Amino acid sequence: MQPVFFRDLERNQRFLHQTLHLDENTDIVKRAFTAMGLDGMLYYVDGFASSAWVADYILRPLMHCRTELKGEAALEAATRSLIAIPETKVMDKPEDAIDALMHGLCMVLLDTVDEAILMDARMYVKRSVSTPQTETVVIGPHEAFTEPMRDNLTLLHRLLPTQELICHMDSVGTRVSTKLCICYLKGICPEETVAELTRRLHGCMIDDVLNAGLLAQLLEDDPFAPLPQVITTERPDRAVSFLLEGQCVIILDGSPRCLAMPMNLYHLFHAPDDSYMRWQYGTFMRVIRAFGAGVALLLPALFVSVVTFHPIALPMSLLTNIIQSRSVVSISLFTEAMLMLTVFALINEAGTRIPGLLGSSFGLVSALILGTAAVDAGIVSPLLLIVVALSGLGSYALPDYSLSFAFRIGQMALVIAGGLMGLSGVCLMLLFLVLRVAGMQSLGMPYLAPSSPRRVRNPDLLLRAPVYRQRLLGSTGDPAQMVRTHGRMRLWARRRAK
Amino acid sequence: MKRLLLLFCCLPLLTSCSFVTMERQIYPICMSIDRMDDGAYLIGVQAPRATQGQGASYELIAAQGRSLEETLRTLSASTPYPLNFSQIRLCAIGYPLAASTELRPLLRTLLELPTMRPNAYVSIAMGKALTVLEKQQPDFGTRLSTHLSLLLTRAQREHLLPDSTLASCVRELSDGRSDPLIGVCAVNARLLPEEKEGQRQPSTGGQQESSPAFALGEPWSDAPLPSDVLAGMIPHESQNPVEYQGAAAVSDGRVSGVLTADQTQLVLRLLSEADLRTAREGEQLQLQILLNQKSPLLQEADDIRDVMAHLQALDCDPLLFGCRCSMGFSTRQAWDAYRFDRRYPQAEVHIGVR
Amino acid sequence: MFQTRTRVTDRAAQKRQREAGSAAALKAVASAQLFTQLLLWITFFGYDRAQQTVWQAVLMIAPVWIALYLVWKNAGDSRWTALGLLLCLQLDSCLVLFAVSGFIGQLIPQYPPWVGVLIPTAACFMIVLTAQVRGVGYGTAVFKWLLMGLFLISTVFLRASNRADRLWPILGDGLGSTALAALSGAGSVWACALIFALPKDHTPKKNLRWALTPWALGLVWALWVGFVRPWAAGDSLAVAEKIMGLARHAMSVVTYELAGVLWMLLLPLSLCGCAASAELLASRAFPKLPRMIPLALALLPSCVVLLIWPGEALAVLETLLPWRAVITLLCGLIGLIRKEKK
Repeated sequence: MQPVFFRDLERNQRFLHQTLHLDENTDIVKRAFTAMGLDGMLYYVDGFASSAWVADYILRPLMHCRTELKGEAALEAATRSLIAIPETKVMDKPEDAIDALMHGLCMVLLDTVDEAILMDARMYVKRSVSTPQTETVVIGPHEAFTEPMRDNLTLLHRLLPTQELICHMDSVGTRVSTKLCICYLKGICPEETVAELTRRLHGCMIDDVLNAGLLAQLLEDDPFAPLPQVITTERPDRAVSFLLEGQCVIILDGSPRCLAMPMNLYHLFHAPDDSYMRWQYGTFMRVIRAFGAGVALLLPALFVSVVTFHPIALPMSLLTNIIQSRSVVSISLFTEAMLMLTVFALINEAGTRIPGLLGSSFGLVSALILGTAAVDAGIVSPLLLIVVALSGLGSYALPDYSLSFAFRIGQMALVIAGGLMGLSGVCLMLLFLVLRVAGMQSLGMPYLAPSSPRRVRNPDLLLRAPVYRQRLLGSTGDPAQMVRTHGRMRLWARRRAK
Repeated sequence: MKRLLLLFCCLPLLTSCSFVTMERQIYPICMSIDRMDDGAYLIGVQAPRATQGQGASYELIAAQGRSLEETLRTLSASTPYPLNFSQIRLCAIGYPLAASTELRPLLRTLLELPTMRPNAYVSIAMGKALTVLEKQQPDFGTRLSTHLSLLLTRAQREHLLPDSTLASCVRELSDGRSDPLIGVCAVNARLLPEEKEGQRQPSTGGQQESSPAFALGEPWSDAPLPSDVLAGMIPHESQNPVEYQGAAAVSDGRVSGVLTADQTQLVLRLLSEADLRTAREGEQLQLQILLNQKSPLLQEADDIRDVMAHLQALDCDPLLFGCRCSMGFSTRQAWDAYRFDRRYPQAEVHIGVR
Repeated sequence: MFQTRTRVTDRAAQKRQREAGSAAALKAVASAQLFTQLLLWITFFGYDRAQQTVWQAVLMIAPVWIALYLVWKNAGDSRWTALGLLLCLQLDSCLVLFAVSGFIGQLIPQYPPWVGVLIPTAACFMIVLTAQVRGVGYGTAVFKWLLMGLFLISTVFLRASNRADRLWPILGDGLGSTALAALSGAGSVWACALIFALPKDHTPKKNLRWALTPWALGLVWALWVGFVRPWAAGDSLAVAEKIMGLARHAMSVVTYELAGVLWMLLLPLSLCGCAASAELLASRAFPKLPRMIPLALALLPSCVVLLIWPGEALAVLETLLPWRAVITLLCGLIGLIRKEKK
């Protein structure tokens, strides 16, 4: 690729014709015109730019200018006086200009000018702001990110109208460059966090990154860890809360989810409406969620291990019921449990993929197969069905989608351990999982911080303190800015002097 | 290298597929151990049948052998599924066997069975323990395990039965400074169906076979029964002919006699309410029972003296006087030299107010 | 919960706090090690020798504990001291693995004996390999409150028949006999040295708490063993029966099972702590050593010994374990002397 543009328009045209494969690629619109006595060429990707804007704010002003200019003067006049598009920039490197062109900007080349003018006249078909799909709340905003990065940034700016919000544009992908924006609050987010994140981004040597999830896998500290180390969200309010805690948020163009780092385990358990409700209700919901997490992870394993290896812990009436219900089942309890968990996961996956029209019949099939026929046929026992269903409910109570998958995998591992070695196997596997998670890091920060290792923290981990008691930012922020407010938050409640 | 290590870690998993599933085991609720006249052991276990949709029914399996281990092996070999003792609620031991020196070794062997439930209740059966298992029925349609758990828990709470779980019996029998009480059970012959059908026979104190160790030994008669009763003699009507009342006194590692229900209750109340001390004046040993001024036990001083006399006659110290006395000695050798076990039967009993 | 102030207002304070947090995690590992070894000594050796005076034996171990604490508090780092501690870690892992294998063997008698040896070894190896030293440290800190709760359930809240008069005659077979029993347990407090050896910098704060708490809990355990008197002198019990000896007297099956869970968590955690400590000490002494070698050295010899000589292991351990105190004291003195010379 030629390193710079030439002053000769024809030469530039030949280069672009070859680079953009214009013989075969009919998707790029070329428009020759004359402006300021010079020949010019307009390029843009069909469908990306608004034809009306191109005509009204680019072509018409340029073509109506009769003053004859050349070189720098022509460029100056074009960019400062003629073109009415707000976002206009000049590039001298063809590589950058082509990249911008392929991202939807319009490119104008003028004879005798060795730079290209790039203008943002994008108006393409896009999805409007809708409600979140995976992070629904009862109390709180119901807006979600969409695919265009610009719209997502707009949502962030609306919620954080401060000059401290820094949005640094970057890109990732060696073959196909995808735009992204690194957002952080200056002064609250430590510089080391931004520097490390930027270093990792620039070290991602992949041909293209289509989705934020893919990028997260490239950025995380340990790809083999059981839990995610990059938190994703589709909610702007949640992204703002991450920014306010001193985390960096990455918005990738084309992805409706943004990434935030560093994170810890507690971020995966927090739902947005915990903070929007009163502290009693928020705490109660968190406790329920923690209970659900425990049930999801441990209940099937405890059931299998206790019934198989530790029947001493069961009342005889329950044990008799279990024996009676299992007397017609031909497979072992361990095999039955693994089968049920697998089928449950299959139902979940099928429920996600099934087209909407078939949704009702899907529910009928799964209920018939599992609820009635399997029990009657003696393949499964009703009690295990209840156990698996309860553990499934527990996993649904988890607010983070990735976490529910992690818990389901952990659940199966624990069932295997419990089925093979009873409670001692469950304890061994639990140790493995807990110690593994404890050893994880997210952008260098310990995963179980601020509880282990113990750090200064806002009283908002498992139990949520009243908002006026949450006087500190999280442990991820700059220590100099850790105190949110000095003095009382509820100043009006101060007792009046007598 | 990593793959080799992973394989090494996975190899043990391949061996772990041979465990026995829970429905392929038998969970006995009650166990009986007797010694026959010819010295052979008779072990019986009572387990529920795994039937769907019906009320609970129980099956009794028994085996004989020359030694305890042999009998257990025979019993295990005679069942289609292995025995799992984790749900044992009651362990009944026949009186003749309990009165021998084999009581503690027997209980230790039971406790060390791989799946044995450590808090199974040990009871001395007046007569043949297997008969207790044969005849017992749960009340009011409950399950036998529930019936036994509730009954024994309540009886212990109301001081009708002593705390004689398997683990505590093994421990107390080796203490050397005190003697345990072990609960007593028996079949009330008057409540047996064949008796109720009019085939009344002069009962020999509520047991199916004569046993020289039945301490009260009063033959049945038509005269009103005394209120001071023992298991097998309770004047009541019930579908369940097995009764749990009273305690067996243990001395020197074997059962030496029985206490009636009232006596047992008195002893257990004294343990919980009284301040029990000993006083040594030279060679004289005094056993002091000190009660609160308002304690109703003060009205029963005579009964207390009778019970103490009975216990001293049986050489049984369930009131832990030996433990209290040992607190006056600094070393075990000094305590052993004192020979409390010889002084206890002749010790003076003093009941006072603290 | 209602923290409203922070002592961290600048980068330096934050750095100090983070280092203190990391050091505290390593001290938790050392503390867990001390606690486990004390409990195992009481269970396998101490109670059989001292019976109801085992709590006095634990008190008599205190001077050894104090001496190790004072020496190591002021000792410096040295390659040779690390090697000495590796030897003690080796003995620790052998005892813990012996306990684990016996426990599992009794719990699941259908399995062959070597399963109880290989699976915990493999599992702990994988845990430390994947979680690394920091994972073991932070994870131990996470488990400490759960273990404390289970410990209380296994002792104070066991609902067993515990009477103080069972501690009498108060001197048992005499002070001499108790002192001899205490001598056999002197090695069980060697992990006091790890509290200073594991963290990189000897942070002066709160070391006493990390060293004192496990010893105090061991004393509580010994007292409860004296109150309950789980088995008689002369009863030869299997490994699992000794481990569950106290819990067997629980009135409730739930507390019995929870007491079992305490051991099921504590023993593998301690084994992981042994391996992680070995890795940390070896990597400091020999920085170029691959990670797997100290891990393998900490776990594999014990595994091999227990596979080949399972019956004789306890007797050999009984002879070797008390020497841990001597080795640790010597290493501490060497470190002290080297530090003085510098």
